Amino acid sequence: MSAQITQQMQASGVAKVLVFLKPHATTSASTARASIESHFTRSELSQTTALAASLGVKPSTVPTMRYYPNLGVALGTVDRSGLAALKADQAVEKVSGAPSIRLIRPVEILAANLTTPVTWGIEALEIPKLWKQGLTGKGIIIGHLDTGVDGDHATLKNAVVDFTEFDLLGKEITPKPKAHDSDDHGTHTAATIVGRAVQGKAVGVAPEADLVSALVIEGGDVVARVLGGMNWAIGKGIRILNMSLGFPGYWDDFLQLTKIVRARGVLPVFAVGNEYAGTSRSPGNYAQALSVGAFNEQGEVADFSSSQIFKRKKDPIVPDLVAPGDNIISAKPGSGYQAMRGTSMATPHIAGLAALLWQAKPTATVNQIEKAIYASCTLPKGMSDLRANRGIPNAPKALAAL
Amino acid sequence: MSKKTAKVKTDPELLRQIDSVVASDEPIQAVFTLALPIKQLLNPRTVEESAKKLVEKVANEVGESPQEMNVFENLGTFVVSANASFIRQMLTQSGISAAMANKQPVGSIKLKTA
Repeated sequence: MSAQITQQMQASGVAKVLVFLKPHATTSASTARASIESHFTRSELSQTTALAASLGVKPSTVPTMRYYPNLGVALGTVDRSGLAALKADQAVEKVSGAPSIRLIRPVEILAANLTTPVTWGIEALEIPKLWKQGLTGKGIIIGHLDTGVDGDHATLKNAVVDFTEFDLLGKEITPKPKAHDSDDHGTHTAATIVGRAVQGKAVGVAPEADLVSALVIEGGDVVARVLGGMNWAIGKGIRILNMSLGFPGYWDDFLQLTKIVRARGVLPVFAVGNEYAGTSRSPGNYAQALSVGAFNEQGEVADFSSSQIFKRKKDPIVPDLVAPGDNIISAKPGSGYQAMRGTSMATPHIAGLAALLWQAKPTATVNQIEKAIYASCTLPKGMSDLRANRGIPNAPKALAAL
Repeated sequence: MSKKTAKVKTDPELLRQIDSVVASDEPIQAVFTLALPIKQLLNPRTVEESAKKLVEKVANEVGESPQEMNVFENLGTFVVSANASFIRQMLTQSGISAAMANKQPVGSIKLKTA
């Protein structure tokens, strides 16, 4: 039994596991799934159950496991008897501790209705002033690497121009899947970037930009899937890459990749993390990234927004700036909207802003767009530069600085 | 495998996976970054050819090809699924600047949505 499973079992009597099904088992996916599903438990200690409880969702409706048919893996929580049953199950090839890349939900998720024409975040950055000048992101392609996206949502109709998923070695799966979300995080961030107005209400910063979206987080911590997504998105001619995800801490493994992304004329817009002050995530904490923290409706840096100082000459403080990231209403898979908090929610605001600027000046370089955004920032009185760095960007000022 | 014998910047998790392989043919998945000037890394064809050449060279040296390979031609990196001896030999190549394990466990680095 792996050390991770042992530790979790000793601590709580349950463990989160990743189950690899035997190849022949995946040809009758429903049978394999049914076989193993009964071994999983709906543990009160699981994150999914806790989150469901916080949202008032009845425990009986919380799935015991998440199954990824394209990968032949299942993720869920087991107790000791469930673990033994999985290991004995003929459909199972291997059981391991739940890998590190798994969806960690935003700080909070709440049901929400959009009652104003635009979200407070769009208003705070004065985005509508650029819309009035005809700047909507039209002609700009943005890369979105996340949990996927519900391409059928009303606010995302015709916005997602391409979608794909990757196998464990970063190869596109075939047949090409329909745009879907393995969770709800990706739909939310996507709609903040490019959401179209629905019945006079808008959640998207760049409502006429195009999104190419890749599902890179599901069922396991696999680096190649993220690389596959980055590689694919670059090949699609993106100008901006939005990654509302990262590795807690500083890991330079993606540093060269980020440099390559920039060298290819793509602005890397990455979330800085949600682990409070004194922390950050890679690749958001690279000097080569435009790293985004979060502020709230009161104009304060959100308490969860990561920030950190590095011993380097260029961009020692991360994030580079803060954007609206608290109580952000955006699309919910299926239909409707929900509010989320996180630097994941802040990052798409900046990705969308960059799209508006690039529409205004298509010949601008990555450095010019980034500098214009930085030049537009204001650090409000009382907001610490150690938490917010340059502060809050402003769309009209960024356009003027371009 | 000791860190001293690795000639490229190597993710400790990859070294651990190499050392912990029980059966010699149990595959390990590793992501490699090519040691090329940035201008060459921006050329997808160069990246593709360089990666394949390196893999072929190592295959000849160890007498075995990787089970699978995928080149990220726009990123200057590639991933292979191969046995431990192949991966070890890859780590000695001057054409590689860095290597990391493709599969990362809980407790090491954790890719998370924010």
